[in-house]
Amino acid sequence: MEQGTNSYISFMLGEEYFAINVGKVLNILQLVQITKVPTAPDYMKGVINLRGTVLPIIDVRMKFGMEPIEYKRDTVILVLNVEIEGEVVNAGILVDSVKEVFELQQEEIMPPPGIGAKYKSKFIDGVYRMSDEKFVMLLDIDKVFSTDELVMMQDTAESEESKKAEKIE
Amino acid sequence: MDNFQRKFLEEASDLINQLEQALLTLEQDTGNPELVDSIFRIMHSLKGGGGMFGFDNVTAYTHKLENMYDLVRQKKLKVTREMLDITFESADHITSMLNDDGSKAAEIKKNEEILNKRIDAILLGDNSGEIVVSRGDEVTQIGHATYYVKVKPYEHIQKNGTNPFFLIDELVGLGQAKVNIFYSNIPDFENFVFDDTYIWWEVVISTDKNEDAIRDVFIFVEDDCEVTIEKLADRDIFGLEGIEPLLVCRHDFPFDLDKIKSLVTAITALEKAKNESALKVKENSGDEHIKKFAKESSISGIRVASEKIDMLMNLVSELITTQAGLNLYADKNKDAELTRIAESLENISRQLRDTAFSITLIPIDYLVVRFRRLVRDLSREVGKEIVFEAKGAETELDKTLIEGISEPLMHILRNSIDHGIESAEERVAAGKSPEGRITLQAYYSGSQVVIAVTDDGAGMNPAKIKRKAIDKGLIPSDAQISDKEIIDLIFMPGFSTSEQVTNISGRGVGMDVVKRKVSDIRGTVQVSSQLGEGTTITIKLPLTLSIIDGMLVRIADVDYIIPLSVIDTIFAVEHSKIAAAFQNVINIEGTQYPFYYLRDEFGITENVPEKEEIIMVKYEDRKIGVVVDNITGEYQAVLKPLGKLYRNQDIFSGASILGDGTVALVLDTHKVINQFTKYNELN
Repeated sequence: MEQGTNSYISFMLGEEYFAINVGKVLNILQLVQITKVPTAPDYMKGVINLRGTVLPIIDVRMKFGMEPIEYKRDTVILVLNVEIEGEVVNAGILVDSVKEVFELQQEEIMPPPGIGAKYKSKFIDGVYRMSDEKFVMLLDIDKVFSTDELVMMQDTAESEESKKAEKIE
Repeated sequence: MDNFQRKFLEEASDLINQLEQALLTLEQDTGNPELVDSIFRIMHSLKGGGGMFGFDNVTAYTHKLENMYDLVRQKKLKVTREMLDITFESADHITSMLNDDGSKAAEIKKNEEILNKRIDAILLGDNSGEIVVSRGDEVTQIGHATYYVKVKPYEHIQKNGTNPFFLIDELVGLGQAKVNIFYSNIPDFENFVFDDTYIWWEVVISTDKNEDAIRDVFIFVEDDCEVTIEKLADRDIFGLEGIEPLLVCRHDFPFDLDKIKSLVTAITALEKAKNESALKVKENSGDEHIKKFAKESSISGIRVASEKIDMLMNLVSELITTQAGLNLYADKNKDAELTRIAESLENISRQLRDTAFSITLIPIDYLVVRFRRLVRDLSREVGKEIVFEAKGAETELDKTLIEGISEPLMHILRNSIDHGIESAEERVAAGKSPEGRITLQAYYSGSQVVIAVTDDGAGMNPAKIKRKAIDKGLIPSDAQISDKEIIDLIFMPGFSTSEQVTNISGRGVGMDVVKRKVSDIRGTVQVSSQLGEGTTITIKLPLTLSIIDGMLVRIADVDYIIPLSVIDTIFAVEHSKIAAAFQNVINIEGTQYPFYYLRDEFGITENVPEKEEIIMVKYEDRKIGVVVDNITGEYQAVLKPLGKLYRNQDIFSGASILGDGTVALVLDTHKVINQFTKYNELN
């Protein structure tokens, strides 16, 4: 987790809330035309031009093993700086919509749920209970990017897409 | 290590490079005083810098070397082979001192003792007596200064028996002097008193004595005479360029002290800028020296951190992309004023791009110095006489290419020295001159730089290579292949023709490594060899890594770029013909070509066009087709990395941003073919 900031930005994937520490987020972009890179796994949607540099775009829905959807007006790209094998690189993730930026105190963060959870706990820094039935999963985005593993537990949801992605890898 | 030390280390490695170059030239021309001077100057800079940045061992050591070369400068020693050997080894020694983190201290110390003994042996040779003398000279020179002395005797001075002329004589006797005499005070004849003194003097004197010595001249006439002493400079100013006209003796014209002082200050500053001991300027050759200083001190270059250059290049790349966008927009809008502005801006961007790229270019000469040294050392090690010649060393290459090409070239040279050039006896027996010759030639060829290394050695023996390849199981024993193909076998991994492994080239890495390293920087290697006559290895490189001339092509509405350098020919073909092709081989104008249908390889099935384009790309010695939907045109692409996430997609060497802001992928056809060949063996 980035030091020195307790601010998180929340976004939605399907019906679920996720959040990333704002220290990781460089920019929020409108969806633009993405150039597909053939032979890459399906969740790697391709590259875009971000002010003269080439930015890779990841569809986290597919990475998480959710059903892919058509991109809508709300779909945005979150430009992140992620650490991959010790190197900081910029990458964009496609999310269904961005919700809000909120502050969190350390003691408000609950440990990731263990058994019975939908997502593998190693990708989740913690969980924040926003209201009675609203939970926000705080993502450890570096870990998400560093692995080809599926983030979602195999037995809870498996999509054709995710299988395919794994095979190509 | 602090910043300054790091700066000094950079500078020192440059100096050592220069030193090696000067030594190599001196070896050819041992009597050249200018080379000795420049060697001396390099030592001096190393010594000074070393002292300033805490490399005291370097200072102490270079001081010793400097002494040796000082004696050469004074013609008290002659340049000998031993002296050059010592200096070459010293260059290595200094390098290791500078780079040592303390772990090699003992080794360095031992080495230094040996070198010191060798230097002492030279210094103490037959010239020991003279060394003492020369030291003496040096000391007196260091105390040299130039003074202005105004001597205005009172009228009555002769009354107590003093002859002011003797005073001036005595003063002039202290050193070298120019004297102005002033008669203007002599009165009319009516008022003239016979034994009064009316004349006075101005003296500019350069002397190794101090001010007190000058004052001492006038010690007995202090009350009879007005004496003004002013120091003009801490050096001998006579002989300095441009000083002569200021020191002309004319009666009643005072010296222009301000002019003299400012000239001397300027010259001193110039010399200081060159880190040169001004005091060693010899009177007879003073003019020449100063001319040289003046020429060298006009700054011809600055040192810039390479990150800054990279940053500049990135910005320029972005500018070019933005420019393309502006042009596109201007074209669409048909606004005359906008078009005019876009065009003139484009003109500027182009010039800016060219200038920025030229900054990143380094002449091959930068490497040649190292190579000369390598050839010199290795040829001695193996006991062969080899002349190394470099042509076109001024040819410039991108700095990343220079870095990338150094090792492969080094290896090629090692091979030539070790395997290529025969021993002197063999050469004579073959009717060649006993001296072997290796030529490195560099030149531009279109958008490429060609570097060819030629030796006049034994050449490669195809029969021998073939036997070896069969022994190693690289080719079947009944393989029917041409001599050229046989020679190309040396690029196969694990191939080494050397009968016995020597410590020079048989270190397990072979020409396959050379080939790989060169292709890493998008270059190609070719070899041609004539048995008995020699071998030429030719490396072709792109001018720069960051810009490629490409062909813009489309597959399913996505743009791709194929480097022009690999494209041979392009044919338009009906899709039906491709679909009907058996085993991915197509017959075009009577020739069979293997091809790759990129839509298949990329897994794209929708909207297959009726007419497609097949681009024949060069792959090793063959031509292989890649099929695309259509061709948009030529495009000069600024290459950008695809990034770590796409590291597995190495069939793309990068991406480029097009004028409309979208991204096109740059195809590495070599890798495309390699990768897809796995599924469809070509042979």
